[in-house]
Amino acid sequence: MVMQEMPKPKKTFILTRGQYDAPSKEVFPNTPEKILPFPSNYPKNRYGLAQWLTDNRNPLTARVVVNHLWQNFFGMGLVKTAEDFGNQGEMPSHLDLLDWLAIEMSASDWNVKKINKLIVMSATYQQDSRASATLKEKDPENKLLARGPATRLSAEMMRDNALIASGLLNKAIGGKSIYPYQPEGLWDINGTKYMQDTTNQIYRRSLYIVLKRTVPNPTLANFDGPSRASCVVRRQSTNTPLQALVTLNDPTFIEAAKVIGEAMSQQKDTATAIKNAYRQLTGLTPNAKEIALLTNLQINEYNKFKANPTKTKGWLNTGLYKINTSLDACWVAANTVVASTILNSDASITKR
Amino acid sequence: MQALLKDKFMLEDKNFKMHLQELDALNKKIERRKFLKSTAGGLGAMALGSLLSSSISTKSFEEQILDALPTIAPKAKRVVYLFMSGGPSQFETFDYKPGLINMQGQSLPDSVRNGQRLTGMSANQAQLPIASSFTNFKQYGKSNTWVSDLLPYTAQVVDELCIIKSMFTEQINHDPALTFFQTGHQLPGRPSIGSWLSYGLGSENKNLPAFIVLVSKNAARDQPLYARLWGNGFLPSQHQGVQFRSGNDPVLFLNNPEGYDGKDRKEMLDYLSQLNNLQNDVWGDPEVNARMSQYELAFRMQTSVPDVMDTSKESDEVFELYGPDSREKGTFAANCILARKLLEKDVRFVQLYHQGWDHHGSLPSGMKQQCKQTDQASAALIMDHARRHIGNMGWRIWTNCLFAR
Repeated sequence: MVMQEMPKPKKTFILTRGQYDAPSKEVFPNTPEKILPFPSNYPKNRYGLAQWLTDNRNPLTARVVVNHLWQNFFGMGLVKTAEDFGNQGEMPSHLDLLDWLAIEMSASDWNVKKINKLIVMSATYQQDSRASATLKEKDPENKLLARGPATRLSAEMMRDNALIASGLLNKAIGGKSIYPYQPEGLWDINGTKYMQDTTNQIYRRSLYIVLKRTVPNPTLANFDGPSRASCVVRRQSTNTPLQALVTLNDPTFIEAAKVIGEAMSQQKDTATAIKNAYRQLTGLTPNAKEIALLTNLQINEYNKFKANPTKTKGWLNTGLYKINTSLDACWVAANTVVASTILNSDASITKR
Repeated sequence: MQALLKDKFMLEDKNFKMHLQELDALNKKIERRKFLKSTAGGLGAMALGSLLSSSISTKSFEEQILDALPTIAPKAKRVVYLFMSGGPSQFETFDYKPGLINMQGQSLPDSVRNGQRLTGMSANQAQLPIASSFTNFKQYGKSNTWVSDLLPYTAQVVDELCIIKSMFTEQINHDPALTFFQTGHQLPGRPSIGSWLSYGLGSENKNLPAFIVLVSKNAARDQPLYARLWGNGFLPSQHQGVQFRSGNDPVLFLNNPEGYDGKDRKEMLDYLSQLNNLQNDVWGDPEVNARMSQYELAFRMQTSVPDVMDTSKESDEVFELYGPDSREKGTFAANCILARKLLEKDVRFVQLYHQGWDHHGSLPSGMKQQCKQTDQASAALIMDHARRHIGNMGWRIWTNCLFAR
């Protein structure tokens, strides 16, 4: 990374047909005038560009930023084409709202937390995501914001949710990349070796997962984590069988279910234990029918494990975390399956 | 053909739009057809043939379009693509250049290089001498095609091959050349050819992905491979190539927790399905059912993938046909058997990668070794297809990324 300007800037030329050895006209740094003419007191380098971008008179930056934040919560920005505010982009659905948020953003000294708080505390965000058939037909994309958002968790959120629900999450901020669980041999096609973390670094937020563009982390990649070949501002949200395999069998998710299962096993009242696990994973309280169903599953699994304790092996030995051996292993395994079932249900995967 | 189509269906007319609901859906398909027709030449035509035969219900319409097609109507439905990564030397495979023998050691004439850039590998050489082939060639088949002595098995099926010697590339390094070959552009970020076929034609097998990748484990790891070579680029991620690996977990995360078998998993998924239904009583969102059906597909893959990966039931005769390596899982030869099985299961696009072809000083020993690993099984794949009468339903592509010497 170049962090410093050269004492004497390099000359830059248009390269004919992109050939590096065919320079033609010399060019000089500037920004599009239609957005904001480049103020003469700013230096024409990276620092000047940063000043221009964040200048209060620049109409674009704050709008683009708040639109991103909005998209994080609603699944779709006020300008749907979050990556393109230009000719090919869509018009904002709520122009005044976008402007107001943009002004709040720059007036609050670009305080991201403040804008996030403003959005989640709004009546619009807190609406019920259910809608009548007529409304859904009229507004399938929820552009009118007449209902709350319903979106699948992003790749990072999927993993982070499992970690925080189980209490495994290591909240340390900053530092080196982490190397979480990953099937063996993936980096071999590159002639390199993946050295998995062996400490509680493994439980840090997905934001810190090592980026290897040639062999992306499969847990994230399966849930539409971008490949980093180019900048992706608006991700896809797909639904594939490989995703099901991740949340069912990836050690990250089995381990999280195991830790929740262990906690459930230490509670006296099974209905309360199920209710707590459900709340931790989904943020919702299960109704009586759901609790009854999960209780049946719990008993069914327990009887199965009791009859054949080797079936508990994978559930209880996956991941670095060691469960309390004084507990009934079959009971912990049964609760682990219950937690895994909740983790794989719509209420965990989709935020409504 | 274009003119005929235009007359009959006005496919090229931009203002042409049908507005009935069913016809709108048809319009979309036609857009895809137009796209596939105009890309990748033959593959596009193959796609067209497949779309026409599978997606249009009105027989007469289909017949009319087929009438408009050239007499060699595309029949291929699947592709097996054997990618020789690193760049096998043309002078030791299919490009017989006897004239070079007398020019051995002379400097490369300027008329050949034509001012082309040199790679970092050769830019510092004092001179660029000509090296003729170290191996002999003979003519084979009714076509009298010259094939090197390093490919004795391929030589036996040479009449089945279409050898293109006019390929060239502007890329001088492996990475952009590979990326260009697989995605049509040297810069990463675009969908690979298999992803396009999956997107355009979909899957014919409900239990397996449409695009499957097998990487030989018995190859030298010279030039690296990247997941983006079978990546979906900007297409939805269900069209990504899925790598089937030779170990115990052929698809990532396919295996249930140790000890928990398929029947146990089925029971758990039944509960999951009921739980989703209860949750959906509140939400009434079709997405919930869509996700549950992906869980069902995942479950079917848990059975169908190990099944298709298991070659132990193949006869000795098959292993003899594909060569001694084929008994060892993960080798190129074993992957060729797998490729045949996957094609038989109607997987749309099977791609094999074999690394280790990046030879410089080590070319003679390297070429011998690589050809030994790949020749017999590549030829066997062709013979096996032909005798199983599935040969004319697929394309086999054997290709490499760089021709430079």
